Amino acid sequence: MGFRIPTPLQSTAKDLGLNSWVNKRDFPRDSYFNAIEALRASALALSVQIDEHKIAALLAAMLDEEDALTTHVLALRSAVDISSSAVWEKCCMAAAYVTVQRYVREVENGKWPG
Amino acid sequence: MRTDKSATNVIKAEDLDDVVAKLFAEAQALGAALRETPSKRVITRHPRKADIKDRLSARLRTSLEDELVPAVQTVDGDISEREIDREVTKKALIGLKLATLRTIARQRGLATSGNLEDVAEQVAKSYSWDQEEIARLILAYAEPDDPARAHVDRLFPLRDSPDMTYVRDRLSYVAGRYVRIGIARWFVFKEMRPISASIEQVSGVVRTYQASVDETETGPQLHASPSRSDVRLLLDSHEPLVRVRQASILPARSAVRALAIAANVSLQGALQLPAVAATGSATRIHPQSLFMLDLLHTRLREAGFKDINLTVARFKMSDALVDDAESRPILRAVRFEGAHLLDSVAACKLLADGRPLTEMALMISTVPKAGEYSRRYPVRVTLEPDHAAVITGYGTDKPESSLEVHRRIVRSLAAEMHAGHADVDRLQALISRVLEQARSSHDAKRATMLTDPADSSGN
Repeated sequence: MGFRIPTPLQSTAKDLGLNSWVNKRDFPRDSYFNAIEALRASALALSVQIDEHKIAALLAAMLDEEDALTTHVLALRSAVDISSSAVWEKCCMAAAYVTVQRYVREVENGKWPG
Repeated sequence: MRTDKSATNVIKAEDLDDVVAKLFAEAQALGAALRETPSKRVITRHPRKADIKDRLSARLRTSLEDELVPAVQTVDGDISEREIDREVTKKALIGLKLATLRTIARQRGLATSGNLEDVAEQVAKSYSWDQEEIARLILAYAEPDDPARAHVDRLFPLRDSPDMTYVRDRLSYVAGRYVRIGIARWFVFKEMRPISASIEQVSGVVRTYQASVDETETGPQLHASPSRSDVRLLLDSHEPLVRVRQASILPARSAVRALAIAANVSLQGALQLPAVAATGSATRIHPQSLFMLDLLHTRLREAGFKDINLTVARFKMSDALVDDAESRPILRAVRFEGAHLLDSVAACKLLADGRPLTEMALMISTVPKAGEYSRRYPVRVTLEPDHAAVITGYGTDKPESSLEVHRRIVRSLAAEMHAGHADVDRLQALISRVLEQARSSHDAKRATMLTDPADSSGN
């Protein structure tokens, strides 16, 4: 069964055009996919197993730190209040889930590791 | 902290904090490294961007608690006060229904999935665990079931408006006396007080005893558990009703029965609603439903309320008494919970099928006067076999503020009971919309049922 983005974040992902953003050529797909595997390995080393939903929280932190998502969100026509913690957290979580979804799909399709 | 049954591993709380901190720091380092990697991507460091590190870290910790139960070091042998505070806050929120919590979560842009505890935790977090804010939230959304947190009035119909001179004369005989009104059940008349020339208030106590058999060392013995309920009744020479204040259903019935005996007033017995003035398609709708719909759509608006949201609708399906009741399925009632239920196909179908709407819970807002602001209150209206009841929650206000609102709703209910439908044309138009929705295959996208098409001011 495919990986499913939580319903409240699906509309955020759609409103922010995150699917096309994550699938753009300049999206550092390899870096994020490698990060997913590195974080999973680190968790295992700490005797903790983390699923895709926990990975999403970590990727959200990575996206927040990278700041390319900030550029994308601020360039949108609709004003997004990134000064609101709740709004910005939703943006990062939605982008993280879309990234994890792409990762899961490409692993299933045999496109990753390439 | 969660107590998920599927959680299998215990971890020291500080070790869990350590796991979260290490993984989170690694994710941040990976993001920082990516930011510094030369690429075509444009990086924007915005000074006003919210700092969400704590929120994401807490989110990770919470999701890890699905599998790991943190064992926390006691503080002087006791549970951390902060944890107790948080658990108490969650427990208070859990007093609301899951559907209500999910509505709140949705309105605040939070995840609505998970069990009651998951959603309560999300909501509490979004309020930064502020107990005062959360207490207000609970009062605003709590269903007005608890008489201790709500105003309650029960209206029992009489055959005629009472003759107060006669009633006062009769009641003077029983002041300070009691009458037996059932097995091990008495009503004590404490005080009669004229509120005005036309209104008399009777205060009293319903005393009952529950009897049981206790096995003791010396053999079985009868044991009696007493209970008492203070009741206030109001009689008004202008309306054929007895009002019972702040009483639950059984003490209210007992007190009314005692009053009927003492004052020689004739109860109607069964709740008989005024003759239906509706015509055409409205005749398909049960009189109890017409009563409720007119109250909802016209009376409450005339009483100065707006933004009416029907959140619970209970329909009676069958009251047939059958001999083989234990061997075949019987659906006696259907209860819908949600928001703007009158716009749902399911509720409209039951109305169109002629099922009686016997209970509704709603949220209503006051129309503010100049210089005031609108307030929102939870209200429940119930049609019992022998009376109608209104329960108004305190909302976010002091009890005395919501009392004035409650009185207006009671007056609306009383008027509907003895004067009939307030506006037959409006009711007919509403019925047409209900019947149309009943034929629809999907719920309305927006709640418009209680908005008159010709009315731009909304409901």
